[in-house]
Amino acid sequence: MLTRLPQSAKQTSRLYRQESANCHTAIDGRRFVKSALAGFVLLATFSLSVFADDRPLRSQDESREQSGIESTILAIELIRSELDGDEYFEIKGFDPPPLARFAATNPGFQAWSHFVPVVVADGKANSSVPMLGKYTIIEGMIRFNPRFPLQEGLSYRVQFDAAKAPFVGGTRERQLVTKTFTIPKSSNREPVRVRRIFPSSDTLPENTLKFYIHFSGPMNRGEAYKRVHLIHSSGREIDSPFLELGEELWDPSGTRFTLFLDPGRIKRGLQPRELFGPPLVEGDSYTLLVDKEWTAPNGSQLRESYRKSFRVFAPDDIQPAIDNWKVQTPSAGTTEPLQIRFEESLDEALLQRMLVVRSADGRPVRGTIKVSDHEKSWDFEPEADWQPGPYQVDINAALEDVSGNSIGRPFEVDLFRKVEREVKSDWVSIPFEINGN
Amino acid sequence: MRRSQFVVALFLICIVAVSIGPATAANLSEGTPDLKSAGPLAFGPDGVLFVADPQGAAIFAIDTGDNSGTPSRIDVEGVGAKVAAMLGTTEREVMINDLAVNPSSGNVYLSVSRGRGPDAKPVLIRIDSDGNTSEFELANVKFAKAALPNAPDPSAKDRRNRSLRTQSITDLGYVDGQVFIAGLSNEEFASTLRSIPFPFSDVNKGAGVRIFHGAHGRFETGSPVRTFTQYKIAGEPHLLAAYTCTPLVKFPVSALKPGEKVQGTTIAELGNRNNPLDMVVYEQGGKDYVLIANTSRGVMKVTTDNIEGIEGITEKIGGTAGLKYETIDSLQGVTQLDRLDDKNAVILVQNDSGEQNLQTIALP
Repeated sequence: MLTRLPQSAKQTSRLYRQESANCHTAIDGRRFVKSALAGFVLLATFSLSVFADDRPLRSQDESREQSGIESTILAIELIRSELDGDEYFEIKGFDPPPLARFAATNPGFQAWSHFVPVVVADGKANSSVPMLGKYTIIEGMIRFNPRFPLQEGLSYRVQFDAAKAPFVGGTRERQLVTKTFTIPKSSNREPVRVRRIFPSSDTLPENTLKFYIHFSGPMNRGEAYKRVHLIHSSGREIDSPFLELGEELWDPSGTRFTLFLDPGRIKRGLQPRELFGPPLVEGDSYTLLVDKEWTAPNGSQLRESYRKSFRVFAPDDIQPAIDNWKVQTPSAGTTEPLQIRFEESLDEALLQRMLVVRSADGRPVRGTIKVSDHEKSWDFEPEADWQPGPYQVDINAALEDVSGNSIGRPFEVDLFRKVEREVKSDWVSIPFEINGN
Repeated sequence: MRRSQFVVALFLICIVAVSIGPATAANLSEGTPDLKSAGPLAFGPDGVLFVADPQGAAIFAIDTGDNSGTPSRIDVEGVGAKVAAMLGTTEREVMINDLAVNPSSGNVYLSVSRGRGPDAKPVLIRIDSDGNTSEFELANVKFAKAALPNAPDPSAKDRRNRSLRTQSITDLGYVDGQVFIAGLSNEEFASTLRSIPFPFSDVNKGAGVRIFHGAHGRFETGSPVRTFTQYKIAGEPHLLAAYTCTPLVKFPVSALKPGEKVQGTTIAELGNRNNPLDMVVYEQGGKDYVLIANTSRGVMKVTTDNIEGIEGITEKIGGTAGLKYETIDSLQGVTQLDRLDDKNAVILVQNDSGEQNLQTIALP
């Protein structure tokens, strides 16, 4: 037997607000019992509110076959703990001894979800599949902790089927109590925007290898290659210009996406290039378009589309040569930046980590890196004053220009010419001296 | 017995005990693997599942304890929506990253992300031949973890003191006691194929092999491997690999020595607009074939005729050089595939509306 739950049942140890909502218990299709139900723990700080409605699952015809069943009131609540943000559903109103006897059989997820599944009740969701979670009995109530946090904007339905519940007095009453909760969308849905794209120059070599797209907030995976387009100045979209990896190349925070142009169309002699040519052609102009429909985890789209237009010059097959870099040394007793000027734009991401300033004892000098002038300039401002004496900048030989030519090796080696320099060591160094006053 | 003799004897007994147990059970200890993400999957011996965790820069070997059963067909219509509902969300918020069939039981395993942002949660799903779909829970399992070296310079951080570099893992495979890992950096155009001996040891975390590709024997580039499978050529274990720049190449496994520079031999040019996603080898009518799922065509069936004799495609391609292949047009939208048994494969198919289905097909 199900027992009637006192309408004012509350857990006094918790701060919560009783909301009233209508619960229609589907009993025989003719009678709906109304009750104030949805007790809900409300976080003072988060102010989460939940809207409940009820959807009897059985059709009217099915229900009509039932008769003479006592009305039953179950309370189904969604509770969010103010302490740890835990969310769980509670189903109350049972006769404690039979419920305890059922619990003693140590039922698993399958056994529980057979009669009290919680499902996603969104229109596009498969609502016949129970959501994963953990069922426990606490203080005579069934508690369901979802395996994953409930998602904003989605509805979840708790379905208690008394006829399948093994502890409901052995009757075959076909009572279905359902209650649906909709998790409101957060008011904090500031749209993400594209902050910038590297390389930042508006002139790029024909064999440009990659772009870095920086966003103001985290973005969703799984749609990048649908949202980025390469468009010729004539308006024609370039077909399949990018290396499309299912894994998508993101930084850990989800705010920087690395977009490689298809190396099969850059490298000479391969079928993709022979048949379709390189994605960028010298002398032409293009726009890299980032579509505003790209979504963020908060559900919002980009604030606006972003366009980076550029003109294409001859392919760059030459390795960066540190001998041609111009180094401007600062004065002792200051935190003036050490400045290095390159002949060409280098890879912005690699410039942030592949140059290390070391003092005479070999220890790295702590400081701040600033990359500017379309990635042709690298400044290093130390935290502490420069001291008179020798220093050096160690440069990782994997540092690349925008065409993937590294200090150690060009992107593409022509084995017939073999004139390129191959640097065997992993690091190369530029020594410099801070002069005393 | 003197104390020292006793200790030696005990030590010897332990060695014998370990050596007579299943090799794969060694070095696996009970606990909860701290996966940050679940990417490529591969099965090793005795139901051991290798899971690549690109975000955590690690490979996990997990004893599934799933060692019995006869492979039989598995079909789950709307598997994406079903898994999403289990995870309390909708299909668009779930990504199925890889699929692997456990050869010891015939059950299908999926690596899944719940959510699509940087906070997405990793989940492993198991599907049996009745279509029962459940979470393979990672609490209290026997496992081992091999951390991968990630950023070459640990001091490499951005202005907010975060490292932005990640090493994406594009494929994973187990060949004769070695776990091979192919990946791609999100910064430099790196080309390392890594191998780690299994059982994992603390000492040997594996060393990278630098992989190159020479077009027409002339233009040589570093070439990240995108997907690969193992294949014996004239009795010698090889990897058949698809590069990010599209050619299909072969390497003898014996050449993949740490620190070496290896150039794969081009055995087929797969052409444009068909980035390979997954591949398997199978036998039919006394001949071996490679089946390759790719981004934009029907699945490709590649013959291995004369694979041992191919010295590498060194002439300009006229569309006919290298191994011959046919496109199986009836298999469209295949994003993942694995062999179920000698005659069948399990495939994950995505239709135009984004719905994903798990199907068993006869190998074509």
